[in-house]
Amino acid sequence: MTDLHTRLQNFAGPIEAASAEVIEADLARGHRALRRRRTVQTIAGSAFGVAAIVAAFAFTGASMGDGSGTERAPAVAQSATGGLKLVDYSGTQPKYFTVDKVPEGYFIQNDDEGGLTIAPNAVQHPSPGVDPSKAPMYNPRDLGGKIGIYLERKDTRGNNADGEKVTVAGHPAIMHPIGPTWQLLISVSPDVYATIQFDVSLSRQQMLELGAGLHVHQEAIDRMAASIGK
Amino acid sequence: MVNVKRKSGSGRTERDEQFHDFVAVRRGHLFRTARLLTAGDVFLAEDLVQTALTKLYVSWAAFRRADNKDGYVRRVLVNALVDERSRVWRRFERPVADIPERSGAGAVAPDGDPELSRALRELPPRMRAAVVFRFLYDLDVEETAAALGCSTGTVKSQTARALDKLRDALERPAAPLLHRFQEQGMSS
Repeated sequence: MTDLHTRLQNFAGPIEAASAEVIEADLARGHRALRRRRTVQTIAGSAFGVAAIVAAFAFTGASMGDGSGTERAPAVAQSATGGLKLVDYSGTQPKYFTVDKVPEGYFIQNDDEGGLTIAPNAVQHPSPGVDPSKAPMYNPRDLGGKIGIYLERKDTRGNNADGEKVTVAGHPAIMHPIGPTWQLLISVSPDVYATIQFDVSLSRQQMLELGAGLHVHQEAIDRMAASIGK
Repeated sequence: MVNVKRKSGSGRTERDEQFHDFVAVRRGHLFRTARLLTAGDVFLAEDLVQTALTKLYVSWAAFRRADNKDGYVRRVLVNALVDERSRVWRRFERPVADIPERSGAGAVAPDGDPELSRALRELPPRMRAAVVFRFLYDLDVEETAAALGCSTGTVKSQTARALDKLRDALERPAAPLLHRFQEQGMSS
């Protein structure tokens, strides 16, 4: 009779050596990720002409740290040159959310059952020589350099998400970094978070302000609360 | 900043060379861990490893500076797991009956232990990670907390709850086997 340790070991299987092809593929993905960041920089620069924004898109977030959240938040919006500014959203409202604020020059790139993607206007107009099918920014489901909004059941995080505790429009919420991005998890029901993932340069205050302007329709909350998966 | 130093003649940057060596040595270990973190879903495990390695490559300088590189890698893997789960869970129009079961190799544990696979799948990802780190890799509470990015108290409570859930999920013959680990997890 085996114990849990042994069962886990057997279940995990053997350690398999990586082939040269697999290693090269990993390296290529790393290269593409870096190129994507440079594409974001280019798009941001051409869209707004603000050099500070370009600098901020490049690795401004934190990796892992003390969780205080203040000093590691991107600081462009507080810089002397300005940076991203939140404005009232004037476009068509999405199906399951109402959005009050977006960064100036951003639009809702994707609105479906999976949530929202808020992206720079520039992705609507690829620069000459840019193949949209190869640059992730043009993919509405790619959240690099954008803001993603989606609902998730709290139990997917073990009902115990970690991070800085804040209050957003009267809702308890949690802010925490994931690599260079930030997530704001707003508790919209006992079972559901409305998660906003920021991969753009907003200050901590702006992230909270954008979160306070997000309204989730009850139908969407109820659907997520009722969903169960593996 | 991006490291642009190139080794003479290879066409690769120093970062490329270091990353290549790291992947050659560690990828198999990462995949094995990912297979457990994903409850045996080898497709998702591969996605997880690729995501984690890409994040590592982009943040290579930070990784190199890390005092505890193993802990750093584990944390990236767990973050990738949670992130992947978030993307999966973005389908809030699907009630449980509509969620398709993965089929083929992706749903099958390597040693064909469907009971354990099901039991692990029923655990939330961070709880599952706590079990894997504590009881397969024998990490202590502090190391596990570092990997999960949470407090030691959270690790203890998550571990205890995970063991309760596992005991409930596994068939009777497995229950006594958990006893040793339950003592270990609850007394740490």
